[in-house]
Amino acid sequence: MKTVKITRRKKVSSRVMYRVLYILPLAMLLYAFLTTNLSELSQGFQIILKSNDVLLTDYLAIAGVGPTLVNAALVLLINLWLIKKLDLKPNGIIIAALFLLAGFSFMGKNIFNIWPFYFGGFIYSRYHQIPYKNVVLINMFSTAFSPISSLIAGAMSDHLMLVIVMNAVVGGFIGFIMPTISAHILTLHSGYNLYNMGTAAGLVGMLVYSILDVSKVNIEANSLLLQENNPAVIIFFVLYSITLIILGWRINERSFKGYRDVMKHTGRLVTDVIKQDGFGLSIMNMGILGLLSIAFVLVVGGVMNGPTIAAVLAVMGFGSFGKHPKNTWPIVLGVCLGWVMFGIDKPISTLVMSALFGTTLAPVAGEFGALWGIVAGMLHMAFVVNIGAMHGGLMLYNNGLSGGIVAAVLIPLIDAFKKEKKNET
Amino acid sequence: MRHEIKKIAKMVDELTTFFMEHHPKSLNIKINDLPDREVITVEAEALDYIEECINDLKQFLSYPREREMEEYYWELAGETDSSEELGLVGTMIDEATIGYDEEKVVIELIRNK
Repeated sequence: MKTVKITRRKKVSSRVMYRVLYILPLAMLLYAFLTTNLSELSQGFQIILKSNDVLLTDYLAIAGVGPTLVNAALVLLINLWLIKKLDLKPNGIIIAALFLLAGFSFMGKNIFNIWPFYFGGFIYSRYHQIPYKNVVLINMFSTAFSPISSLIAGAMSDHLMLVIVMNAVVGGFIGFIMPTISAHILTLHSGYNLYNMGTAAGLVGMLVYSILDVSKVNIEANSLLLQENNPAVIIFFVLYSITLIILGWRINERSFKGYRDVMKHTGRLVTDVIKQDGFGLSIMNMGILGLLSIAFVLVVGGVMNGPTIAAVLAVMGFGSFGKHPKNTWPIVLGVCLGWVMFGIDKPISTLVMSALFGTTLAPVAGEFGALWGIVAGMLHMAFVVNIGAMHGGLMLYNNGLSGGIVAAVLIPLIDAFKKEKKNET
Repeated sequence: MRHEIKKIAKMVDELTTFFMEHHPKSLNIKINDLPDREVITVEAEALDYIEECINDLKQFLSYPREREMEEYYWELAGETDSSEELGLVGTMIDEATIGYDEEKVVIELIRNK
């Protein structure tokens, strides 16, 4: 009998991965400081600090490009520092989490409101006597609840100590409970919804919102979005996507070899493209998805505002953890068909966000084919425009919540039509 | 470690599903609970598409152990009949050895406590 001891090493060193990951925040800082003076940055930060961050808050519209980029860069740099400090090696889900953080730093997450959830995760790790590195990833996703932290700060703005204590208690409690809730919610959709935390946070958000609503606490939703494209911002993200493709090509021995294999994955959780196909192909896939996403925004007449950039970065990030062009296009097409068929009367940004964030359902297309992917997209379109009212915008991953519920219903439905192959032996 | 028993059970569930998809004539799974580690041994005989099976095992069990992945995703192991979930087992173990010939496949997985 031939015996093989499996080698358990990464092909690309962590140092190379971190260097590639540092490109985005450093480029954002460079762009911001070249185009914005310190006084504008300071004013923009004041606005970000005072915002309640409830959906939809577009930092580009309320604070300007420079302060928003600095905010996103700082959120990204601090999280990169944290995972490096905890000696975590970048993998598919860590990169997805980082890009999600960067994206939502354009529409609700900021360097002031994300911390309570890390604190709660830290307490959770002490309580169960496990290393903090085990839960930091879940904390990064749990920052979906950042608006709650901002609302507390807004309500008690005259008492700094009270703000800190209340955020530590409320945000800390949420950070403490999310590791178990998010892990458990996975079984609801069996891994067919990539934004699992969206489903988990959405259900918790519904409970929190209901309690606030019956307690007669009024929460004002936001809807001020940037209405005109800024060509420089578009060029920035196009260049970044191209940079990723070129770097991926170089790391992948100066070739596109193997990219077809990336598109063979169903994308269902857990599909780590870095482990299965390598870091080079993974960032190449992220860059290609970035270009396709930006092209989609422009083709349908959308605007690269905060929520749209968040959606583009989310698609790119999950390019290392399940998404690729082949399993995302049916969802995007399905959302567009749903938009037309149902005659949805909303701003075009709603279509753009629903289509790009809707690719959370990419594994449905990857596993069951393009037709079911289109159906999933259509259902998502109908559902996502109604579900925001149920959590009052208190958590940011509205599409992840919709995707989870669509998948939970659709997967058993598909299974009902699926005939078992008979074993001929 | 939290939910250790359930995690081992989920890993065995996933391995059972994986090997049963290759229609083995017999499948034996043994769990050894040692002071410093758990050892899971799987022995499968007369599998269909044995080469494909070995390739999948080599690919998915080569993943390094990642405790942050385990904390978040362990409940997914064994959830469906997709072979990609075997990668989750890979992220939950520290060492893997595969022995095989034309008739039989034996794998030994070590999970440090």
